[in-house]
Amino acid sequence: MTSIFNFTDVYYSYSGGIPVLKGLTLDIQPGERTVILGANGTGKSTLLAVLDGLVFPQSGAIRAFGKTLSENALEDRAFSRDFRKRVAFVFQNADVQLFSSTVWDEVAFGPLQLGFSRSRIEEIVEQQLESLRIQDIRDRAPHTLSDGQKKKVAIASSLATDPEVLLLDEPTNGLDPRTQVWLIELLNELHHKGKTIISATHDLSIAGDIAERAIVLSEEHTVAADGGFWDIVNNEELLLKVNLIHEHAHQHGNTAHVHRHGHFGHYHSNGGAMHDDHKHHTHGHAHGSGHGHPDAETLQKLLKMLEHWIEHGDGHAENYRVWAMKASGAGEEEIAREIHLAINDNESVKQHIKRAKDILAAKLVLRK
Amino acid sequence: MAVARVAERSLFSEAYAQRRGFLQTLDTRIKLITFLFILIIISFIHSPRALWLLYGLSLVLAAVSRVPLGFFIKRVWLFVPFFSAAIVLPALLNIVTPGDPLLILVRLNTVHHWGPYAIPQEIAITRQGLWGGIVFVSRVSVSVSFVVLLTLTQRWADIFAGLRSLFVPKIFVLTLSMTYRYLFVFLRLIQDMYRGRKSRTIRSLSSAAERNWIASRIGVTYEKSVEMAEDVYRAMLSRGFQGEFRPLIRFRTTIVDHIWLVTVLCFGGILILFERGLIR
Repeated sequence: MTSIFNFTDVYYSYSGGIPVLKGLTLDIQPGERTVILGANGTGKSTLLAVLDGLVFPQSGAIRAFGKTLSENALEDRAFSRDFRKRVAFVFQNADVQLFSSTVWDEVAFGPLQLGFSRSRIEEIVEQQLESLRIQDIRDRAPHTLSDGQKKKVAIASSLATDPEVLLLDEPTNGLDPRTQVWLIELLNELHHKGKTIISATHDLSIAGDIAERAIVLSEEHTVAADGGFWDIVNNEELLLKVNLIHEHAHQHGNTAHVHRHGHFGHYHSNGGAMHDDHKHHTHGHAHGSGHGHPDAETLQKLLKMLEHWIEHGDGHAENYRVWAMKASGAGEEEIAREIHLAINDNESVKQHIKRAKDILAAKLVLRK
Repeated sequence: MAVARVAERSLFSEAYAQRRGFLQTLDTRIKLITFLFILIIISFIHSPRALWLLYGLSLVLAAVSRVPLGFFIKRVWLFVPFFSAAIVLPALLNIVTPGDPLLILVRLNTVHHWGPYAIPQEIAITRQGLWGGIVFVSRVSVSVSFVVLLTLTQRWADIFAGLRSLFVPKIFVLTLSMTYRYLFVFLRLIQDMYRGRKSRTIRSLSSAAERNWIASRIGVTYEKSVEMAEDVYRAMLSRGFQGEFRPLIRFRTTIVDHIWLVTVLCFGGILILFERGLIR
């Protein structure tokens, strides 16, 4: 399968010579959900701009859809039109992206520039407004919208050309929790439709929901890691090194605590805390609600159970199959059928259990 | 902050444009053509009576378009002094407009000569100056009334789209609409800078320090506007912009638009003929 993007030793620096991307070698496959992780200033937004053909590296090679992506290549109108149709970018600051007079005009802008017919444009705009449920603001000027509405319009306008690749810069930045959940669900839906989704964020709490793969940029502007998202967030030392979690010390009366913080779920990750007599203990607390004490023992036990399920799931399924037959023999056909249905879906159940185990394992690492 | 609030309310309020009134139902292009025609007619008229007849028409149009008359009159007369006072006041005097004195303001000992210019011994308001002033103020106020009426009853987005369909160059309209769009963003930025400063100010600063601060904020706003212009251009490129803007016109006229167009053209024509003394 042809890669959507292929980077070989890409180097980009600002005009003053300050490097932003150093020797990046990457490969993005069609349909992948990738998150680019990194602390502020590591080059995430620049990488997205390079992927969208908005800035061009000083050295190295980039191929997009099997063809060279460069300033010269984009001078060719046919290539440029094809590339712009296939790749869409949702900017971090929606105000930058919403430059038209009304929401309707904004959504129509892309298809208009790409030369779609009038009837097709009207059909696309109506469809986008409906699917993102923003019909009621169609005639509003962008500056009169809330941040959440702006983000929805920005996404609708990016999706109007039905792109294969969607690039998102800090997608949940400034959004309220309800709009964040809406966005995550939308991205999952787009993924199921086969879109390639590449997001840049430093927010670990949503990254696991919108990506299977993570590319971590270091503060030295290189790729520090590239792999499965949950494998990467299991790597505590890596997260500390790239400044995605940090250690933080504070006092509770006479007790000094050392915590590991990261924007991950609803927890401060909590490292080995130190009493003034240097005895170690662990201690977790929830964001903004003082110190709670989640039952670490329960979660450890759950982890063991999930691991046990993954290891012995097939054996258990076989046992249930035997018992379903026994139920059938006893005349309980309906119960036997339901058990058979459950056993036949064992692979899917195992996948869900495995994902739950990976997430829990990662969270326990961060909460140590 | 007060200036920013007034600017925001004047430029960005679309409350009256969303009401169901007569002018709001008209097609934007027809409205632009007819209002432009009325403005041209105003510039040809010299009779204050005809000008005030047009002013009366603007009040009737405001009323049937559900724009509160008190608000409309205040909005117009807030602008008129700014536009006309500086020009009209000197023109009232015999220094600029010689003629029959109506009211003597100052008596000097002698006539003063400065090159080709002379200041008469008696400085007075003249009949000719006053008449010219009345015509000028009437013309400005009637023109401003129609412009304010247009912008109150039509969303700016539609005005820009209407201009596009009336063969105004596309890039000019795009630049105008984006300027309008980002004025709001920068108005917010300036408000935030003022609020940030106010929250940290304990005692008032010297006027020199104030001037320094204002100059530095102008610099910051300029820098941010350059940054934003680059980002907006990239966002446009990202969505297929290739240097030539392609607009989409979505207007439809109705029988009411056609009746309005014919009525305004006939009314304007009659007014001009009346003004020129061709009909009585």
